[in-house]
Amino acid sequence: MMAAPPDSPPRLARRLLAAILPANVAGRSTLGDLIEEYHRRPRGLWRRVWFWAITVELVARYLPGRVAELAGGLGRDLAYATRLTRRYPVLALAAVTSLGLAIGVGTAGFTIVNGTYVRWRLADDPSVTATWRRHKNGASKAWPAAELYALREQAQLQTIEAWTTKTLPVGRSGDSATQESVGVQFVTGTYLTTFRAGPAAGRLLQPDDDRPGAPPVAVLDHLFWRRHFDGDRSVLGRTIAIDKGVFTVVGIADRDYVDPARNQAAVWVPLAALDLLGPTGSAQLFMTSRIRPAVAPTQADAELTALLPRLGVVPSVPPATMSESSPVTSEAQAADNARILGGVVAAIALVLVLACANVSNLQLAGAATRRQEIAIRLSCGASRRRIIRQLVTESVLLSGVAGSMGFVASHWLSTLIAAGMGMSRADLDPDARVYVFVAMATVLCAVGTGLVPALHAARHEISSGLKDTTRDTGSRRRSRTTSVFIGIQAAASLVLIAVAALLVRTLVHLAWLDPGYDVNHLLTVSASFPRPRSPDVAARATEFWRLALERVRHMPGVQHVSLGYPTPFAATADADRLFQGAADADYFETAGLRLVRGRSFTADEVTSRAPVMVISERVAREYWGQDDPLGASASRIDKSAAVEQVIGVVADSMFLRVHDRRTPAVFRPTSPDSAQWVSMAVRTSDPVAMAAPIRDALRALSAEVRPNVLVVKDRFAREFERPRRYAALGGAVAVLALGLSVVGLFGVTSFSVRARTREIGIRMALGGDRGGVVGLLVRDGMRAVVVGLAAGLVAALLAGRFVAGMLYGLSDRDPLALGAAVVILLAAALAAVIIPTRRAARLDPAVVLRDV
Amino acid sequence: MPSPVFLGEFEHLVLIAIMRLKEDTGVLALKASLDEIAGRSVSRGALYRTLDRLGEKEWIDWSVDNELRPERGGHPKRQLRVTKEGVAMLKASRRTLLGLWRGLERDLG
Repeated sequence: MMAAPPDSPPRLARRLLAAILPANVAGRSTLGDLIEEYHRRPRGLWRRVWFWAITVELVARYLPGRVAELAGGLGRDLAYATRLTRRYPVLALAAVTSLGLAIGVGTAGFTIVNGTYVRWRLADDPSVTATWRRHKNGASKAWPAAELYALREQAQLQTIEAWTTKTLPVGRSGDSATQESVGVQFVTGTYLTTFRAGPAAGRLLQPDDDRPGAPPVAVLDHLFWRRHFDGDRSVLGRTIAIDKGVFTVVGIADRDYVDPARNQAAVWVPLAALDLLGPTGSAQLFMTSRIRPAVAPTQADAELTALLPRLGVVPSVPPATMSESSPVTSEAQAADNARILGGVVAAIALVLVLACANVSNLQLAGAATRRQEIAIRLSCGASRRRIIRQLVTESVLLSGVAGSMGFVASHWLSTLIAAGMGMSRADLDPDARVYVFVAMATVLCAVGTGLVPALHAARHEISSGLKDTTRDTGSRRRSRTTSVFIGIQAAASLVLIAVAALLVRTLVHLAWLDPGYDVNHLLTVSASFPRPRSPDVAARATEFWRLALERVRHMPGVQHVSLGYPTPFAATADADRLFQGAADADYFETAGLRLVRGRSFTADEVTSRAPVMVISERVAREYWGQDDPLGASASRIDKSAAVEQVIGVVADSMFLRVHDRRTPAVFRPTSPDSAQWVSMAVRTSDPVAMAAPIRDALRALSAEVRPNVLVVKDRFAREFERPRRYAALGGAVAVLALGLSVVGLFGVTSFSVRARTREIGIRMALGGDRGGVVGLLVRDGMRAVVVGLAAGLVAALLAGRFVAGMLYGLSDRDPLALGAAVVILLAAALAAVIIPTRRAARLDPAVVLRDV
Repeated sequence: MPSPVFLGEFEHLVLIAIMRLKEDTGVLALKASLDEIAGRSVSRGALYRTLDRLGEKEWIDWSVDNELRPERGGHPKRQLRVTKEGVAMLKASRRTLLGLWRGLERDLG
């Protein structure tokens, strides 16, 4: 094309015209007319304006026609694609199933992530809110209402709101069948507006609602409203029963409102309504503040610290200290969650990539069988662009059907997964973000699965395509593309299978873990004593335990009772810190702590509090190494303990969480001083049945002591919940990945073997033995898999980091898990390649050569 | 019986204007002629869409001047002409119009 003279018409306008005018000589000539007219006009801004005006006029004239033309073309393409799916039903079914499953799993994962993390992230900035707790003498205490309201009045740098939460039965008034126990948050009148809630319907709570004597009103959480009241708006203005009170529903909070303390209630009612609940109406008040703009959290902290001593509104209570409790999880937990979230998103992406590669390969193979049809259409004058559009439309149709199926499947998949993950309160109803995700996943799948095969198909040579279709020796380019797709599939599958293997290994690891004590027959009882600073607390505790031992020992079914510390799951500190424990003469036997060497304490040693010590294996290893600790002075552990003598070594055990390292501990004979913090270990044949009688018996001993009974077996089982859920989820995704890979590989190998039937026949007619031919084809089929596996192994090593937080007792590069993943995938791939290959090799060469 | 094909007013004007053009029968010359006949500036959008329609009905035809002219940005130029079918359509239309006018001369004054 000739270069335009200087000061040519606006380029964008020219491009617009070129796009909108008919793509024929008339259209090109029209553009030429306009450019010529442009040059005839006087130079300057006005002729550019004129050109734009003409462009707009022509676009307006031609656009409706172009749109109708395109829509008509698309309609025809879609009708043709629908007919084709009937002609190749297996191909279409395989493609729709693969994509549908992938989109379903992907959408389910996204729905869960959207219902939890995404909503939290989009919620009010957690850095400007803080929940304060009041501490006195190290114990968390309630905020006296007067003190809290005085603080609220005087604080300048922050808006202080008070709240308390109770679990109460809520339902339509007069209908006890609809009652459900849910979290009810009693809040100050401005709480919801301060923390940026908005009403989805009706109104929020107002300051007037929180006055004594005000009509009792309630605002419903969006999710609770949808689940409990079926999203019925007529609930507004009606009454609901909360425990014994009757409240009028005045509003529904908007769907995206997330409580600043991340403790979402189902119903919000004014604090003043606490009086309606009668005797249960007293409650511990918490305060959460929203820091005003341009105020640093430290300034807000300083303001409260300065205000507290000046309050003086409750002289009977000693001055309070306070501490801020972060409304979100700790940084480490947040990082862990982010990694898990990243893992989920990566898994979703991998499954989608896997399905796309799978369907691309099927389409590619399918396009090979349609060479003749495409060649005929090309020879009849269809442009290659037209052919590509047709083939992409077919992918759009398949993806559209798969997307719809996936969306439906995702609804129950997400419920299933969330139930498995213990996230029953997650909001799993699809919202705009989920719809956008499904639409984008569908479009990406359509383009991802259709474009490459379409480009390949449109490159066919007409002359070769018009020849006999059975003689498709397979173009080199297409087989290279197929290999790339197989490689991608193998790599993606390996990553998912490796992660699942790591999670399953974790579960197995935990199941075989020896906690160090007898889990199945053990109960522990801890107790909190009132007035812990009073001088007689040791005596009171000693007396309580003496009576408790006496009472429990004689209960039927109890085999051993003793006192000691730490008991399983009783400790709350760092697992690597040396625990200073205590034990009576029977403690090790009762708890099932295995004595490795030496002996336990005698009753006399406990009574006389003899200077003897029993240590754990880890302590022996760390402080004595190869030396024998038995009979040695304990000075290696602590210089001040030089007079104490080590008399025994017990097996390592875990006192915190199962997956923590074994805790180092030293045990001394119990003493009155240790009575406050020791626990009672009870060995019984049926700990679950004994828990309630023991609790009742101990409560009867003292009205002021609160015993806490723990069935170790149950607590131990709870430790497995999370890893079990992760392993189940990871396993399900891995099985899906493996299935997709095998189906894809099987399909591609079948097509490629069929394309090489003639070659197989010639090889065998020339004397090639069957084994050799099978070997050749299998080697060809597996080459891409092996390359993909190598790449996948590297990716799996990186992916391990995402799930490191979910692993217990093994490295994220665990060779056994990675090795198992490789072996599983190799075996599955080999089976997928060998079956069609052997079938082809069984054919009679004479028949093959005659037929083709 | 095939449905009668009618000639729109603007189509009529365009066909007559093309027939009146002598040497240059390009679209720009046609537009200038039309502006003169109609006594106003005709819309380019309407003109080009009408030419497309007349082409589809095969009432006009064109030869293409492929000479690369910088002032046209290297785009070709159409030289328009009315086809035999176009002329027949004009004649029929003229006959119909004259038939309709006949007897109304006195009323026209």
